[in-house]
Amino acid sequence: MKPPPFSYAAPETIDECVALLSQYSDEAKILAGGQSLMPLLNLRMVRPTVIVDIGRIGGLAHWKKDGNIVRIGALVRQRALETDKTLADAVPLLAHAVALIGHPATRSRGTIVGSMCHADPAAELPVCAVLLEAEFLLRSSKGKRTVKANDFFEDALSTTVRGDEIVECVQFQVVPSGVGYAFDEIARRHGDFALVSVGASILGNEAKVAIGGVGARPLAFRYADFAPDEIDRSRFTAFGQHVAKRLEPNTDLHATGDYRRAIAATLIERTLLAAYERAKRS
Amino acid sequence: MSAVSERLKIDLKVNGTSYSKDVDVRRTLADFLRDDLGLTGTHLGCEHGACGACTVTIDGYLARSCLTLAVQAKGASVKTVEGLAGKDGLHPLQKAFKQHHALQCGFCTPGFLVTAAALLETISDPTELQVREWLSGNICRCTGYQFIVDAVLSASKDMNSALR
Repeated sequence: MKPPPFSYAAPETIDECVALLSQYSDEAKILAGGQSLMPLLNLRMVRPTVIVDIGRIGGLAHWKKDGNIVRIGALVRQRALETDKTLADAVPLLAHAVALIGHPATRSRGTIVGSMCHADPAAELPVCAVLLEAEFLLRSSKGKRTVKANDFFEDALSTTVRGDEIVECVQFQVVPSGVGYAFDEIARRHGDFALVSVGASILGNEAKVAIGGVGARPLAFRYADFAPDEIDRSRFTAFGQHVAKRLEPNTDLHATGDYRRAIAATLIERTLLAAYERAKRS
Repeated sequence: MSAVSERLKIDLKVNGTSYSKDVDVRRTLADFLRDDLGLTGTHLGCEHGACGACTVTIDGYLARSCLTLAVQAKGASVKTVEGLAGKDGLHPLQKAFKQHHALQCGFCTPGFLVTAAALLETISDPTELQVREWLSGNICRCTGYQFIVDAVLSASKDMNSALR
């Protein structure tokens, strides 16, 4: 279908943007790349009074490294993870995940922050945000606040961002030396939303995984004394099974809960092995 | 504060031609191209970003024109399937599609051609896997895809040998 009627504003500064958001609050929807909002509009699943298009706010289209923090602005497209090698090196987990997100035509419009704000339980980037303990910088006409990834994702398709706020950027710690990351998923077709997706990191003795598609929001698990031994693959397998037992994924048209749990165990083993190999090399 | 409106004037370039038009803000770029500019080569299949038939490029990057508002393309340079053929006739991809029977009903073809053209501009000599990855966002219900992949690989060879 076509989008329902709405009014539209394209502010050129962040101040104009938050002024609009404070006026319209929950009646407004922010449009960045449009790869989540536009389908919802065309399917008439949302009917905002006002669309606030942030595409003309130049300051949001950049990312930068500031000390030991990497900040990615709300308008940085997902394709930047494929085309900008310095960005890919700054957030390697996101770069591993990006090829699994949609298709070239959606990644060239869709933004990194936008996908996180949409908070689809099966999407890849929220999983990365939770694993990396990302922080979101929110702004409203009343001021700024920072929200940790764990407090950001509230429920399926729902975050703790208020109607009068915009996520200006998402920030990550710079990659610690010696860390290895990996991301993998199982989907029915390449580019589809995953049945289950897993991001993993290994740093020293600590292994971490974050899992998407098994609940309303990404779930993270930590193994503080992992101390993996290359020869003993069974530890990777055991951790996968240990975590999978604690998951309660839904059964739906695409997969049963049991199948999702089995995939999670396999993906945890697979991503931890890959992360371990990368950690050894780095 | 910035103005809130239901209708806006936009200036943009489509296939190299400049246009200046008043549009409803809810008009998608796809409908703008088809109904306001008469460029009906861009097809609408699903209207929610799943099928890829409406794919165009905006400032050189692939985009679903059904998931883009016309007002978002203000000031941009858009290329549609009509922009592929030049003065010398069909684009090598169009020739290859014809030669390899890469279309039957033709409904999805504009999206495949625009996507494949963007692929060959990014990677001039793609592998079969790369072709399949790039085309994975386009749905074809007739061909079974094999002939489309053949056509893109063949066009890539033709274009590279023409350069030499």
